[in-house]
Amino acid sequence: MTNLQAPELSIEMFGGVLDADSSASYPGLELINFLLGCSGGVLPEQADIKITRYAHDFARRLVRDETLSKEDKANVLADKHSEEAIRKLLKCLELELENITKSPTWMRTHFFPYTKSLTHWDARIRLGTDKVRIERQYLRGAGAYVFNVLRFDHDKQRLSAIREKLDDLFTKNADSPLESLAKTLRAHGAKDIEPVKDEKESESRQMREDGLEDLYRIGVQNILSHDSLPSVSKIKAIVNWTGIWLVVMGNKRSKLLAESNKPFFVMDCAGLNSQLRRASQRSLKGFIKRISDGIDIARGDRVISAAQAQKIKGFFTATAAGMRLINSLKGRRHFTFGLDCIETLALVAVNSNSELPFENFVHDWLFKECGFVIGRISAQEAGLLDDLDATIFEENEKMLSEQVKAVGMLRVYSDATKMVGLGKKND
Amino acid sequence: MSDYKINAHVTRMNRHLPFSPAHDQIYEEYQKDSDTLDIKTKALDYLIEAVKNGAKLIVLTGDAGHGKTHLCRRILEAHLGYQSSRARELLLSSCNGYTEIINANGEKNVLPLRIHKDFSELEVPEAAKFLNEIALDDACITIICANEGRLRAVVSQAKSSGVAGAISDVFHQSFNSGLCTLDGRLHILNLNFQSIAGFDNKERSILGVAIKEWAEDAGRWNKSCGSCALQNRCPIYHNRVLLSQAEGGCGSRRLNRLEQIFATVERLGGVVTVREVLMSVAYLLTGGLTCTDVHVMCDKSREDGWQYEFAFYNLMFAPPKKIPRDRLQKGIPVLSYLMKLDPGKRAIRAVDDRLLNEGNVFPDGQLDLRLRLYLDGKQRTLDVASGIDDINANPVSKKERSQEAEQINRVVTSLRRRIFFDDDDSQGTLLQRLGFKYGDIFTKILSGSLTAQESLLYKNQILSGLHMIQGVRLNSKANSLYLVDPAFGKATSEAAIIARTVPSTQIQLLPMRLGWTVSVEQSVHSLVRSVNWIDRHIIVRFERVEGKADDLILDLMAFECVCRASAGYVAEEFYAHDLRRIRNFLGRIAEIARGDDSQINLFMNGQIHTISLDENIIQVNGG
Repeated sequence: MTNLQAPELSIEMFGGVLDADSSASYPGLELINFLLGCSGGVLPEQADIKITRYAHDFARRLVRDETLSKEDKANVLADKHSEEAIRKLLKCLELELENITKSPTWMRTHFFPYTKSLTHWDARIRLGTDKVRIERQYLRGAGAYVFNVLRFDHDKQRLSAIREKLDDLFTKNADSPLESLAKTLRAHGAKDIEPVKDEKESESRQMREDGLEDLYRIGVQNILSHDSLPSVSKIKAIVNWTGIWLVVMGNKRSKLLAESNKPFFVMDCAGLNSQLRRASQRSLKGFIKRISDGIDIARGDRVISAAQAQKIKGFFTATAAGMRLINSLKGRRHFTFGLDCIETLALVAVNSNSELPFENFVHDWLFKECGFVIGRISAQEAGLLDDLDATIFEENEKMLSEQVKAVGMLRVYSDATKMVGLGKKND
Repeated sequence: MSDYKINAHVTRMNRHLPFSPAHDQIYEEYQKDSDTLDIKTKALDYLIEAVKNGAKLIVLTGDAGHGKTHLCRRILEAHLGYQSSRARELLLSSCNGYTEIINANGEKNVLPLRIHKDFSELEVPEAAKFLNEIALDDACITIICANEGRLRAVVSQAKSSGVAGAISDVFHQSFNSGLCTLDGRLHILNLNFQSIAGFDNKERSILGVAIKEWAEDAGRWNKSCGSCALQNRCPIYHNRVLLSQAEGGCGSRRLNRLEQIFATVERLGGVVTVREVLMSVAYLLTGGLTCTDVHVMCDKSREDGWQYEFAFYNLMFAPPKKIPRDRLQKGIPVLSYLMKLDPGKRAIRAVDDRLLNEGNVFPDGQLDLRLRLYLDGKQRTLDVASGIDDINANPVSKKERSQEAEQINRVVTSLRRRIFFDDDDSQGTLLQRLGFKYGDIFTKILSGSLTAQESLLYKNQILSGLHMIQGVRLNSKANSLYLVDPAFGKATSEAAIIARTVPSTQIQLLPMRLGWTVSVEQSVHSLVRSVNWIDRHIIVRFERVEGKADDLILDLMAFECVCRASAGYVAEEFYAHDLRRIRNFLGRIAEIARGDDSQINLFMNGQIHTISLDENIIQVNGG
């Protein structure tokens, strides 16, 4: 009997390859590669697609590889001062990496795709050669899956709106100084001579139409609708939402497989109550167990090694930590919301020029759609009030409202009416 | 016991407290005439004028407690001539939005009123239907009370034409134009702009009036308290003495400080309603005690020293033992803001020197400065007017040392709070004493009377702060704002690309009220004049070439954040939310009107460099 591999099982369970190495922001980065690199344009209609991938190896090696030859540098940079300046500049554009103790190699260094030409694929130099090869390393296929979720949208009107807004998003800063510089640097790196087919993409085309895919699409559409936000904020929100949605999706799809009493995330927004903190810690453990149980049920009679199973489990905890849904990657952990996460969830919940009552945001969006338990009503529906006092959740909801207000996404019109959104155009 | 008296005024104030069983009497409809405090607000003046000058529909909007129902009662008295008790009956019986209320004396030339005092309680479709049935040419004036959120929901559901559409227009326009009406017939009086602490040279604030009315009314106080055997031991009466101008001393100064500290809360984003003011004043004067409570406590303890925790300045920043903090803050939310501003927790060397080393700051024998302390294993009552010299415990263990430290802490905290209210501005302005280092600049900008030099100076300070927030640490003073590409918008960036430069001539510092351009003819209908006003924030306006402008709103906390950043340090965690909002704003305006891309500006090592991309080779100048 051959051992089952994590990618194969992950596609069966969730629809795409979810691997611990490609956790946190990597799915979002991969998605943007597909959005911008597809030969048929943004979210093409035809099923079979080809993609042009860029290595951006020159810029990445300039930042992190001391072995980059002087000749290579001289072909791009006029002098030592220019080299230092561009290196410092590029360092500020790196994707933040957590949980590393030493300086990353250039292959582990990715630029955040703030503009079109900063987008790039994984690349490496294999031992014994000096040729840069464009191949998957941290981009393992989760981004290809969400790309397919977007483009195989049954709602053609929404698809066309998302396509148009995505096009705008990257053309808006097409003439920015950063884009001009990134374009020049990328031109000095490796790229696919011809667009290539991507195997992982073609394996992740099966849509389940269980409502979760629509949740992702609505979220992306809402993020793109906020015209008053800078493009950078929208790109960050798309990357964050991709990570958050994968966690939400993983929880719900595992729940369908595994028997579980409380398939929710108990969020501790206040950080004041020890009972809530413990409930949140238990909820995190429950989530991990749910994924674990789901793996056991999904594999059936097949054998999967512990290391391969850990790749799937690790994806969820690392992504949740990277998206600030849990307090830390290590140590005693519980569910909470970081500021980036709150901002993203608020942008995702409301369309531009509209507002959502805070109570509906907490209950209808965060609880019913995403499974986050914050307020009293959600806690009651999740069956948590048998063990915990309702006032704990009232306080929790209040603290969340203060945080949403503080990130500028909540308007308090009166003591009875709080609305989530960026406000209407006229106000 | 026969010499102990119950003061009806204290009982009345107790009814205003949220933890009193008789609290419902604070609501306008259920008040007795004797409980009523009729304050003449600007909103009432505006309402009366609007009714006189041909208004057909007036929407009163604002939080619960801002006084919408109270205004309805006052307009029934002022316009239709009803007595207050009858007006209250009408509030309960006829203010359903459909009944026409005619003049009390049957005069036919006075237009009747139709009042809907509970519009917020209607379901949205029902409320929308109600609006669409109103005609602005009726021989009747309609007044609607609705909270802002419900009003928004209703006008967005109602058809965009008709009265609902007109309300929607005036409402949304009011935020852009700063006007309450567009045609004089439909007015929206937004009480959320009403300040309880804003005062000018002519009139005291709503808070000031409430304190003066309740603390100074000699008739009410002296009638019972004058003959009460416990007058000299009563913390309630003592608060009255501390806050009363008529009693001489620092009453007026303390009142000013109270107004200023509440104004600070409003400038930090707190919304304080009139109802909350009444609750706060009742709490500050009584501390939740009734006359009977005082009698019992005095009988129980022959010695004084327990009263200090009921002194108004201690009540303001820390709850007395008998009231749980969360209950108090839930009942009177403004206290949660005030407790964060506690001057007792701030050590200012000059102040502490005066209090503890020089002594003689306060006269001896004052009730609020006698503290019962636990020292050497027993309770002792000490007069701490001259500081902590009398605290001579001999601690021999760690437990006793920490006990002594705790007692000293109580004394010092209390003394700092008291002197905070007794000192005048020569000892440091209120905002400085509260820890807002740049607060005085903030109030100066709000005054709108900056000289050209001051304007330039403060603008440079703000530019420098905005640079620092974006991570641009320039070696020299800049007379332009460099907006970094949003991809680099962090204070930790070592280098960044400059996306846009805004010369300081295109930047203005404006107080909130000057954010709107209102002509002299329209000024009678301006938001600023429609309510008791306070400027809550400043506007940093960035003008665009095409005549448009982008406004960055800075309240006191955000202003402090920017100014502190200008001094070279950005407290990322503490100001996380303000920084995020400011960076988002700067990111957004950086994308607008980008300069020509033939030259790329790069910020590095405190200097601006240019990058050229010639023949696909990158060259950075200044090497």
